[in-house]
Amino acid sequence: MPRKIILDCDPGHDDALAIVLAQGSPEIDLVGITTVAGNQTLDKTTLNARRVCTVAGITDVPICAGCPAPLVRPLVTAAHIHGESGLDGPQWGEPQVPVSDEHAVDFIIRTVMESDGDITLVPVGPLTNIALAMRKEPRIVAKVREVVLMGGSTARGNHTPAAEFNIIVDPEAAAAVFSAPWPVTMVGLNLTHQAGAGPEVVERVRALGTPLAGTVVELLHFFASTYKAAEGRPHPPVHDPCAVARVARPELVEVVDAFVVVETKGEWTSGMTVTDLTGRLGKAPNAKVATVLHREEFWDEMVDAIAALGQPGR
Amino acid sequence: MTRHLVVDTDTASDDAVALLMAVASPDVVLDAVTVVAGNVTLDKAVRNALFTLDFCGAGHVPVHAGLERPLVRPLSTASDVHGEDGMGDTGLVRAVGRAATEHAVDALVRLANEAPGERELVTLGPLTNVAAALLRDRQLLTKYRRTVMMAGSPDCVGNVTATAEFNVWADPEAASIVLEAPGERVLVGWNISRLQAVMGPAEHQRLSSLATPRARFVQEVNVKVAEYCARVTGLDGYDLPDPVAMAVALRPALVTESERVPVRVALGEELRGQLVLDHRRGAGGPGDVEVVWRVDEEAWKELLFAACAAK
Repeated sequence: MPRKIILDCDPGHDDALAIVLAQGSPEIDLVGITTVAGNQTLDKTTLNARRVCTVAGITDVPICAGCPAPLVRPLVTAAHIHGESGLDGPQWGEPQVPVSDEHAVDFIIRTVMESDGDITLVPVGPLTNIALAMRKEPRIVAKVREVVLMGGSTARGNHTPAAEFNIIVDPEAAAAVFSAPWPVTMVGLNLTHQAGAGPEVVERVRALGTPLAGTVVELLHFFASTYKAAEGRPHPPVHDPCAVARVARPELVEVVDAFVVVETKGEWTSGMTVTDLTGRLGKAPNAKVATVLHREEFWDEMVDAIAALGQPGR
Repeated sequence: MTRHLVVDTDTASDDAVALLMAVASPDVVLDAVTVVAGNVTLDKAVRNALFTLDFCGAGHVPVHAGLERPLVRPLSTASDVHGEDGMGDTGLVRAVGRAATEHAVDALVRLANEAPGERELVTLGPLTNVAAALLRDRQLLTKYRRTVMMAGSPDCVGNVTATAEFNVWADPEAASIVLEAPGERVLVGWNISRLQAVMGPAEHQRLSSLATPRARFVQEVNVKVAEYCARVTGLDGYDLPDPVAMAVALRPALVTESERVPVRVALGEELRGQLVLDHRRGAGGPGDVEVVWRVDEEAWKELLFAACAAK
């Protein structure tokens, strides 16, 4: 049985790949895409989700816009990584798929509460929508199968030395998600930095020869340029599809149990996911923490998904 | 012209009196009551709201349950002020009716958008519901004609900590969101309650002489508050923060002194929930809040007595 997921995202180049993997993987039933402000403003991330779905031929998955800003803090975006549009690189045509009238928070609540307890939430942006959904309908916590999120890090951050971008944008929301009694898997930078898109990956995608593959190549090209400028990395890490891959094929992403807490008050460390890998704090583990990516199989899965989505127009 | 009110409340003693006043006001229609956790847990607040509306003959007013805890922090209630049931623990409250199926946040958004600029919002509890609605639509309060809030203590004399008032202290992040949102907002703080809304021996006598069920109701639901006042705040009787805010909402002319000023909320632990008014030149702007500094005490209490006089 394919795993039912709601992908909560802020596209974003790697979010685009997460959408493609979620729809293209036979192991995943993508029941909805919800958008949030993060990599760019909500209007841009929502437009970008529609653009990606259009190019990928995803016409049967509802897209619901969510929160325009974090719970408490002002919005910070990542134009230096994703460009002014949030999805710079390709030339995008008019999106051919609509945005739903339903708010993302309500879509999440309704879908989870009407489900048989088989919905997995896959948040790959700031956790604002998820936290607000928890507050508005606390019963979703018991009903969601699990939360597999891209965010945080067992070690260093990227937006600050201590904090990963998705968490630092809305640390209060992240703290709420990690402290709730549902199964949480953290797919953090320590894992996603193993998913660099090197030239051999780009060539494999290019060789597929489809319009979608061409768009992905252009996305990776732009992503590589900003990542090189920002972090000096030779190959841009595609963070978000790693969380989807963990749901699609759990064996691709190894995890350990650990206690994770989000720092919300630190002067220099706000947004840090403090991860107790050695049990120093004596706290019961509250999360599975991703540690090792089976890189070859991950890219096989990713390339297969791009290929599976065929050759829709763009 | 008939005015339309929406009231967000963590219904306990003084909220109940404020609801009674809204229902009793002849030129006002109470369109909906949205409920939030605060003085008591959400389920108790809903029960108290339903009971109070039924008691006032307004059982038809929809009651919408909202958030059961603050946005970020754990829930802190005030059962030491209002009693375990939030209504003085006298056995008065019965389970009556049921809440509407629509969530309070959805109701707040819908009621604003149905008639932009027409309805007025009165908030009597922690601002969690309103903040959650603002997280979806930052322009929400511009679609209410105005928002009158019982919130905070602008003179920094607190009732729950040395400097903080309960509603803001309970969910300071929510209060911060509301105080920074655009829209016409009027703040009636606990200073007004402490200085101009105390029900002392004279007011007690007046209510007793009315001898109506509503007057008895006001006395009865506030017995625990009177004990708290004797023990903690040192007031001579019990104070009515929400009713005086409701009076300002019902009769704006009751305000005799106010100012427009930027208001922020301290979010750090030491001064959690303290209001920060910025009087520096150039600090003000379109986001200023009208802070009430004085009301016509005699007139607002007359409004209260008139509401209680009805049989």
